[in-house]
Amino acid sequence: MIRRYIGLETAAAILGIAIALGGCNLASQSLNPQFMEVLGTPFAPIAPGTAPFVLIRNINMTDQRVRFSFEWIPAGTLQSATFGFNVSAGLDGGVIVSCPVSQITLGSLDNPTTPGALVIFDDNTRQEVPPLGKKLREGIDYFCGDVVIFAAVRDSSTVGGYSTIYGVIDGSSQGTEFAGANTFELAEREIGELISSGIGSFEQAFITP
Amino acid sequence: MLSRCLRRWHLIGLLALLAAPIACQDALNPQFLAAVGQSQSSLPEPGSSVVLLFVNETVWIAEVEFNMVPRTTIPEDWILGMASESYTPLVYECGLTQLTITGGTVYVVDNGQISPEAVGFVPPSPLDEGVEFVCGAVIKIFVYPYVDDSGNFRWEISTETVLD
Repeated sequence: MIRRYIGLETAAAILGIAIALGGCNLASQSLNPQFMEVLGTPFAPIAPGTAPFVLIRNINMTDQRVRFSFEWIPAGTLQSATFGFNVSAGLDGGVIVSCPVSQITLGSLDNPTTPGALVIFDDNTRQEVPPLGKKLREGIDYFCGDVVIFAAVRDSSTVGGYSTIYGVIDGSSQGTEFAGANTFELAEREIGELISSGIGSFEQAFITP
Repeated sequence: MLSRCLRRWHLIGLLALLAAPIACQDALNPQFLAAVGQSQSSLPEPGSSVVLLFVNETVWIAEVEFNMVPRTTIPEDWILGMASESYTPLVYECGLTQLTITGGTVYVVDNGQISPEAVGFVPPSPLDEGVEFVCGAVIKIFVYPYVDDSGNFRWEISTETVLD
């Protein structure tokens, strides 16, 4: 425990000096969530981390309802599965998929020109958001334990005024100690029990024929 | 001597670190460090989650209707369709204050005819943050069959919160 404390203190000192000498960019490259434990143990995890999942999250940052549709290749298959969320303005929705997940995209893996988000206005008219046009690949863009985020945003540079962006949260640097529940470890245990009792994953049901 | 020097060095570093958040708030957000999107800086700060683990234990397709009350926006109605004997783990960012199961349907197939049958519910519902669940919890929502007093199959939804 003392050794751990000294290690963190030293890390804090190194980082502090790094910030002082190198500015914010250097700090952003060297910080990680483990280090943030210096400032207090996180309450609950953000990413699956050591649990064998990828969390795919859709965040609606627009002021309209958005229909997200995303595809991934579930473990043990070469076919893709499709799922989606109808998300109100300012809200988000996500789903846990089991590793390994070789590819993920918003829209279609086979056709990168297929939009993966549809803005639904109050009068029920709909507008396609330009496609993301990017396949995310495991081992390159993300790893097991990470969070893959797809977000819809207002974007004045596009014809329709909306676009989609993506980001990845590195689950490996998250740490393993939490003040509250270890959400994804609990989910791993519960899902394991379900599988043992003959209950299958939703992923198989959403595979595109 | 060496020890004193190290302590001073640590102090300088820690003081610099404490001053840093004022000038580098974005950079100090650890969750963005691995972002790979070209517009990563415009993504919202991600947080911890609640997992809703839906389980359909019936041999039929089922739907669960539920209502969620987020802390910052208006309540939201959702319908989740599930294949027979399958689970679906949905994830929502903490800030969910209430979850209410509002209904359910099991689509029974009998002699080629699809018959939607309503699903009963076992309390508690609604589930309130701070009472039935907290941030970081896994909430299991089961749809399962049972046999009533007349010997007929019926369907029910129950919930269970897992914290450790």
